[in-house]
This record gives sequence, C-alpha cells and structure tokens, in this order.
Amino acid sequence: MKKLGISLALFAAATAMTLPGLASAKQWKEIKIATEAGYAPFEYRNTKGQLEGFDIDIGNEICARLKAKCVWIDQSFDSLIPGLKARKFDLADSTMTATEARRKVIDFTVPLYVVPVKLAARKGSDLLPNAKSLKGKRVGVQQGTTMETYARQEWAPKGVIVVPYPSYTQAFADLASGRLDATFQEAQSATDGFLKKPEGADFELVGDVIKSSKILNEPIAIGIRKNNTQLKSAVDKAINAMLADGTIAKFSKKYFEPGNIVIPTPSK
Amino acid sequence: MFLDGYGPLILTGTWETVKLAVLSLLVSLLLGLLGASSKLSRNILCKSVATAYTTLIRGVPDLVLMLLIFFSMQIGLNHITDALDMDVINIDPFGAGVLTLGFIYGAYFAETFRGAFLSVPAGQLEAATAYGMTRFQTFRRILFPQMMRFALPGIGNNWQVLLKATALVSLIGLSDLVKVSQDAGNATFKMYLFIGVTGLIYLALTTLSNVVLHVLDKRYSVGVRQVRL
Repeated sequence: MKKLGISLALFAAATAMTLPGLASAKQWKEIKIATEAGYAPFEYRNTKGQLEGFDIDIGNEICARLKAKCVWIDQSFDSLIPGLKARKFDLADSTMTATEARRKVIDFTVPLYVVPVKLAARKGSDLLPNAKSLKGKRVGVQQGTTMETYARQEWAPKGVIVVPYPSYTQAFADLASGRLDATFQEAQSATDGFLKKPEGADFELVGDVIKSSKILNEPIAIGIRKNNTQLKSAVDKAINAMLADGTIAKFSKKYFEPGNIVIPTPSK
Repeated sequence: MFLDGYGPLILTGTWETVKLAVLSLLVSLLLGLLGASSKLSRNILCKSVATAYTTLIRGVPDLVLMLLIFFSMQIGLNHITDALDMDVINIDPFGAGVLTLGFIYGAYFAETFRGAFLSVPAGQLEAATAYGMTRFQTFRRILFPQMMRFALPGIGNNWQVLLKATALVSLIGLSDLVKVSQDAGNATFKMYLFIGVTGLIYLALTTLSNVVLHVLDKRYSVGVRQVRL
C-alpha cells in the first residue's frame, strides 16, 4: 500500500513536471529549409559552396531559437512549392512574395520584410516612376515579376513601352547601351547588379517607392505547408521575437544599403 | 583568382554532371536492350508493355516527366507511410535523378536498339541456330556484336542529349554543372562569364565522348569493308 502511495505520488509529480513541456508543443530535431541560391544578397553560394545571405541568416536564427538543426536544400525556385507539398522539406525560404495565388496552395509565416521597388535611370534624366513621366519611354522589367504585372497594368495603357527580359542582367545591359530609358526593379538588385559596377556609374535610383500599389508592397515571407500548424506557430513566434529584438534589422545591415529593405513591426 | 574563386565549385558541379550522366546511361542502356527485345518478342504482353513505355515516355517532355516522377513518387510514398503511421521516407535526389533520366532515355535507346536488331541479317541468326547455339549464345556472339555497329551512331546521339538533359536535375535539388554556374553567376553578377565557361565544359565533355565513340566504332566495324566511290 505504502509503495503504491509513493509511486502514485511520484507519478503525479512526474506528470506535473512534464505537463508544461507538453503545453509548449513539440520539439523539432531538424528543420529542412529549401531555397534557390541564385539571388544575392538574399541567398547565394560563396566560393566554398556554402549558402550565405540575408534569408539564410534568418533561417539559421529560426532553427537556433527552436533548438533544431537546420538542413538546407538548394533547388530551383519553380519546384519549391511542389517540394513543400511533397514534404521534401518543411520551409521554403527564398525571397518568396506572399501573394494571393500562392496562398491558395501553401501557407506563409508572418511577414519578414518588404523589398522596395524603384526605378533606375540615367543620372539627370529627370524620369520618375509614373505614367506621365515615362510616356513614350522604354522601361525594362523581368518576366513574371510583380514589377512586370504592375508596369503592364498601370503604365502600358498610358503609352509607356514595357520591355520584358528573362532576367534583369539583360535589362541592365540594355539600359547601359541606351536601348532602354529605365529599368523597374527591387532597389537592391539594381544597386548590386548594376549601379555599383563601372557600366552603371552614370545611373541611379530615381523617385520614391510607389506606396499606393498593393502588388508592389506585398511582403516576403517563408512558405510553409498548409496544416503544418505547430511548426507555423513556432516559426511565427520566433520571427516576431526576432523582429521585436532587432535581430532581423541587425542582419539586414550586413547586406543592404539603407532604404533598400523595409523591416515590418512584429505582427499578430 | 580562378573564376572569382568559384573554380572548385564549378569542378564539383562538373563531376556531379558526369556521374549522373554515366550512371543514367548504364540504366538506360539496360532498359533500352530490355525494351527493344520486348518490342521484338512474340509475347503479346511484353510487346504491349514495351510499346506503351516507348510511346508514353518519348511523347512527354523530359521536364514534365522529371517533376511528375520525382514529386508524385514522393507524394505516393507519403500516402503509404501515413497509412502505416510511419515517418516520411525521403527519396534521395541523386538516386531519383539517375533512375528518372535512365527511365526516360531508356525509351530512346529501346528504339535505337530495335532498329539495330532489325538491321542484322536474319541469315546470321538462322546460321547460329543451325550451329546449335542457345538463345543467349546467339545474342552474345552473333546478334550483339553486329547490332552494335548499327546502334553506335544512335547511341552517340542519345548520349549527347542525355548529357545535356542532366541540367534538369537542378529542379529536384541537385547541384549539377548548370546549377552551380548559375549560382556562381548570380553571386558575382558575372552571368555571361559563367554561362560561357559552362558551355565550354559541356563542349569538352562531348568532344571527349566523341573520341570514345570513334574508338568503339572502329572496334565494332572490324571485318566490315569501307565502301569508297
């Protein structure tokens, strides 16, 4: 009887101790994160073949806060959503804009940051990112981007010539050679891919961010499989904590010029 | 610095591409021989399975097949492991890449071999039977050596296409030559330099394989007189 009493007491104590552990949800040994390492400074490979960049720092910090090991997978952007759905990995952390179309098939974490979109043009050209100023001018965009969608919706009907390119690399080459009057892209990609280089010396970012457009100001977030609610809430919590304590702002200073990235306030 | 320091990474990617291509070639040669024999056999089941295989695979783009096989296999496997309440079994991308490419190109090789089999004069096979050779002996001693002469040009063709098709595997998470050079180009913003280098490496690989094919061609043409006009 006595023994039973002791063991019951022990059992009760043990239960009491494990309960808070249960309430704080499950632990992840490793979190698999996929990215396409083709978009410096967000995610790219250094000369040793290791992944580096703003998103990589954020992903590693999330794993550290969830006390899990990060396993990174580098694969093409087009197969990130199929891979998530096939459970090849848990998160897709690759400068992915949380668009409505994507939300139909996957979930997103809370917003990480917004990448400001600006117009790049020759210094002293007096061009501004609006239809009036750009009428009759040739503006280069990358195919399939929100920038192309915006330019086609807002500018093309008002007489702006929108020229699509497979990638901004080609658009910058045409801007330098005078075949384009301006390019319309994420500010950081113009800075790194063109303005910092000798052929971009005569060019600059002109005008302000177009605040009125919803599609241009959609935030970047991490993609996550639908119904993976435990992981989503844990990652959301970690991101909000990182936004609140300035960790993400600190990472951004490593990679971005001031004004080329916008860090949101922690969201609910 | 050699290629802005990305030289070693490019070499690793080249090695990955070569490994993938050679292993896929082995798989597809095997499937090709099997497919060709089945298509030529009198067994109606073998014949229809092989015909369905070559028709289906050659009619659908590689890219579509790659995504379909890799991701749908995984989703199918997930359904099974879920039903059995097991952990997710992850399909290894390299093995999957080799099998998928081998499976796709096996269909092309099947047609190459079928044509080559048909080019061997029937009298040769009849003579072999008359000598009392078993079917395997006939294949090894009579049919295969003579068939290879007809198959080699087609094999060379398929091999070069296969080598370049390995670039598709970056979709399923492998860092082949094309993927690493794109990564390097994107990181350094010198896209054209790395695309150029990649093109040259592919050219070097195909040139090298042409040498090997030439040697094989000599070997399997032994005893055949060259016609000169």
